[in-house]
Amino acid sequence: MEKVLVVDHEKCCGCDYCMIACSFAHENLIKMSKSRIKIYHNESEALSIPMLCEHCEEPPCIPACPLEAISKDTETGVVSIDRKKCTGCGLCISFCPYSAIRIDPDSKEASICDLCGGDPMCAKGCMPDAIQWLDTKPSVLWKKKQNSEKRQKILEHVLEVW
Amino acid sequence: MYGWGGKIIYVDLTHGKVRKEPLPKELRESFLGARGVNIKLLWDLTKTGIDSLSPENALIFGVGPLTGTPVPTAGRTTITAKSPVTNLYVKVSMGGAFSGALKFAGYDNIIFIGKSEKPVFLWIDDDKVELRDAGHLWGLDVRETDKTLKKDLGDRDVRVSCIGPAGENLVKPAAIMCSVYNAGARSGIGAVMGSKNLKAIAVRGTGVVKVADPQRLTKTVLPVIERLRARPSPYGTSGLINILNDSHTLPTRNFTNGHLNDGYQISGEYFVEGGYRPRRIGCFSCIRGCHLYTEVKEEPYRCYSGGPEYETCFALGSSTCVTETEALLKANELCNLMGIDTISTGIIIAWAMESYERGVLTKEDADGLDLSFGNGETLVKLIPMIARREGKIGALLAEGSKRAAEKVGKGSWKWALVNSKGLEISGVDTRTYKARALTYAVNPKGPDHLFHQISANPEMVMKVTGAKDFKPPTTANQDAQIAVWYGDRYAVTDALGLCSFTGDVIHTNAEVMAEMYSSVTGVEVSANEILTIGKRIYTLERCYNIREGLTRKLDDLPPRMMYEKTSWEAPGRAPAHRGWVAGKGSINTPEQLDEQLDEFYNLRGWDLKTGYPRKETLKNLGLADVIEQLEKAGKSMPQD
Repeated sequence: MEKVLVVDHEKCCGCDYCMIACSFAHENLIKMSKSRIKIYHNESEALSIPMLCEHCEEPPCIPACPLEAISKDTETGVVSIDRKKCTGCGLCISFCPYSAIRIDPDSKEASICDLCGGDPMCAKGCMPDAIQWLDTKPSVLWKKKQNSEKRQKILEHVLEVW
Repeated sequence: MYGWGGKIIYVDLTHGKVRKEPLPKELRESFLGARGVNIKLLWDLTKTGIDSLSPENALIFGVGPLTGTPVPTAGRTTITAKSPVTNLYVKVSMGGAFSGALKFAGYDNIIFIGKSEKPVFLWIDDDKVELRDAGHLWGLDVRETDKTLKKDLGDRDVRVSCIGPAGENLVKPAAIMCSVYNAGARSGIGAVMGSKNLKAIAVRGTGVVKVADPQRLTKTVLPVIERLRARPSPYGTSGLINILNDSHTLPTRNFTNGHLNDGYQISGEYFVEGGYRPRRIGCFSCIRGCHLYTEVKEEPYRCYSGGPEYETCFALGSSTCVTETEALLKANELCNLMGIDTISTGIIIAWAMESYERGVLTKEDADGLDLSFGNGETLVKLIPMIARREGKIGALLAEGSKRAAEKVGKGSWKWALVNSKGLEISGVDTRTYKARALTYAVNPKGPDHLFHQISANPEMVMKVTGAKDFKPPTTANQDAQIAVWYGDRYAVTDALGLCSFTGDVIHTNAEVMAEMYSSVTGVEVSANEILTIGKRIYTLERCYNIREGLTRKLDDLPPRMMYEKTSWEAPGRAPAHRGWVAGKGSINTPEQLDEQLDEFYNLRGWDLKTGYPRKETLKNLGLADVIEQLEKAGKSMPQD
């Protein structure tokens, strides 16, 4: 991949604009459950944790799919779901370490971030730079990995408390 | 339906009944939404002269047609009622994420009338809307209420708007809160909710918001995002403290000074530098995220909370001379947990402190508390006492400055920072900030900043109004002209669901708002047409106040502003254009104010003697039916 999405939850202000932008960019309407990115909130502690597909090196969702509907493009590195094959069984969801796969409530198919074909709207609209679309460099990839691990941990906390 | 949710929820609390009705086309296109639709509903649904805390009052929540769309900052909720503080109109604008949830559930407005026999909360789960018992929530603070509701309903994506102990106890400065730390406050709106035995509204919205012309909207919104990016707000409104303090215009020591030594300690810059502000909070769909989240890790002031905003830093900090950062942050947290307005609370406490200094209130009156200016410990102790009406001092201050001063007597009204409408002033000394004097006097809810931010964006003001050499704060020549334009424009801003604070810095003028509105809803309007809608909203608010007894006499400023000259130098404050002093020795005399009011009323088409809109003015705004109703209420409406 030439560019990657780097997400830093510590900068996220929790406004949900990325979810609006994602739904609008893909569907021309706004429905939060159709967004491929989701912010998990704890309003009391003002914690906002954006979760979306990390396009992993070795995506655990791929072997998890019984219908071989998920694949990783060997050239671009983008993980995608073949909508024709997907039945919305949801098995992939339980294997995703980033809580990044959602079932579209209308089509009942699994849905993940497609990087908007190379111009992600979520990053464009994120003024606090919690979501950035950056050139792929070792330092950027290192940061991305660090951030992703941190987010996994803090998400556990958010899902424990009310 | 594009933009709007298309439905109103009517809740009759007396009979425990809920019904849904469509939002009529004429209503939404004549009043847009939120603040606009709310005032029309309040006008129609309430009788003249009702007691604000009686079941007859209506409490109305509203979101705008842009909420839930990609228009940034469109996340404000307007709440409207008759105020128990002023017995006039009150609307408050609340941030947080309640607005989005309500819109995605498919609703634009909720109307509460009557009074429930027992505490209840309203549960909106998309199409399902029901009243539920809130006995277990009554008495809980705002954070506990929010947590309990989410846990009970089993969903972290539920959004809650609620009152704290202050609202339950019908305390005059009580607020309505949402997303835990966002207040819709001032003028007793939380007491209205408490008087109805309504503890909370919980919403889960999973529906859809549609946009009429997505491509056109994208074209309009992308430059707005760019303008926002160019104007970050790292300290939020609390970044104003140092600017005002440096120019000696920060209201200090109950408005007897303009500068606070060590004021830096209560500024946004210091919250960041001192490690008190780990992150920021954005209201729903606002990428600017100007709201602070602050924490203190050590006792005795251990706390965590949203805020404080500029107004909180001024009211609880400079006005009371409390410069201890941690005490201020704790006081801010307590106000949020108790659900009480930080502005009015701070002003009331500052009045008590001056009364104590003058010997009008004694230690015995204060239940043994030392009410000296600058005492942070007292500040922190007093807030829950006011919210719970505890002790002699809590009970006294819970009634607000006006009533407290009436009760205590001894001339203490002179240093009570309320105008004739009866609301405590927000953080502007109108004597040195001359350009704000008129707008504070004519504001329908009292001396408050959120109906006209006259000095927020001088370049835009000059461009739009044609006013020349507008250099706030001292300009007072074209202030009436600017105030009229601002008043109308903010009515549109609020009615669409946008944020007025951020709207100003990104030049959200009428052209941009009209374009966004048309792209979203498919209803074509021009900039002039949308401003006329704003004028209609502003004027109907005026008419509501007239119906409830407003006269020209109530368009004034607190006595300290009108009868006491400032005693300190305000560097850089050149005399205002009319030659009125703006530095040391400045004042807003009744004569100056009369001059400004005459100009303002003339531009608005209002009668000079009464301050009532002329019949022709009302007819031109499509408010002809209002004339008859005002005449029925015994008002002699001025001829043309």
